[in-house]
Amino acid sequence: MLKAEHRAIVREQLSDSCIRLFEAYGVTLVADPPGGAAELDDLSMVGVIGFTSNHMRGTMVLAATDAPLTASNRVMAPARDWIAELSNQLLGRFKNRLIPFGVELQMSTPLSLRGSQLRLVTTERALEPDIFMSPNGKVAVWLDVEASPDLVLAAPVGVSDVASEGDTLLF
Amino acid sequence: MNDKKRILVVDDSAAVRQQVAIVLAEAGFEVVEAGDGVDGASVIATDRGIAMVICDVNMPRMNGLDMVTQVKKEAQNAALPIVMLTTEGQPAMIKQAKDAGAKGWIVKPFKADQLVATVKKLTAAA
Repeated sequence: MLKAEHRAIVREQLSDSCIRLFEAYGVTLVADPPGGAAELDDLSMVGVIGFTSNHMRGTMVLAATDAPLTASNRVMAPARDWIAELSNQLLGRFKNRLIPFGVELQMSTPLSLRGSQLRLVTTERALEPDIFMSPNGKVAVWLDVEASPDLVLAAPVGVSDVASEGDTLLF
Repeated sequence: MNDKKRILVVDDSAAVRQQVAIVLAEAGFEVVEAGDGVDGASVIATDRGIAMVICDVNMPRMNGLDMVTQVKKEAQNAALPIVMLTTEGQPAMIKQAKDAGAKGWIVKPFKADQLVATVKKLTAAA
């Protein structure tokens, strides 16, 4: 399990990464506050992607109702491909944000699931899901993490030299 | 006769290949696709008309960095521009791509105008 101080950092970085990702594809997400009204009982698509590092490993899950996925999918790619790619890009953002804290994740390739009225059952090692509302649907993201006791998330120092989303570097 | 420059897009995500293909087709390029590094290297070996390659990093079977390394070992590919298109942003990985012979690095999600400008610049120089 993550220590409390690490959970706060991880959750903040993941939540903001999710908002920024959908923003890049034209969908505004608003976080549902803790204890908010949103329920996770009508999710239809799920993207799952694993990660490892020296001191933590786990799975990131991105789930949504149909509308936010359709709204962000400008080229009308198949829905399963699209949520898999969104999962990939979300974990990529999260990964790049953890580098300044001294953690480098290795990502697996994503997979996707379609279902009906999918429900989330969390374990004690999973972070509580962050739930977001878009004008016409829901998005949820959560992590299931195992961390070793010696995990350190060092405070970032100076300006990060990690390339950011949308950057183009020519050699 | 088709005089459009042909761009190979190598990515295991059909959605990304589709995004790139639409943007480049609208800019006047012909796009061919491959789903991983093995298939990408195979297309490059057999299609001498490829003017540029846009390549993901994390892919099954053969990742993008290994594909660049393999492709650039062939002298006939020395001038072939390859740009990585990936979620990754670590400086060490970017340096690895540069050292292997890649010409650029774009972090997803890409900006359409910048992608087109990059492709035009690198295919004009090739």
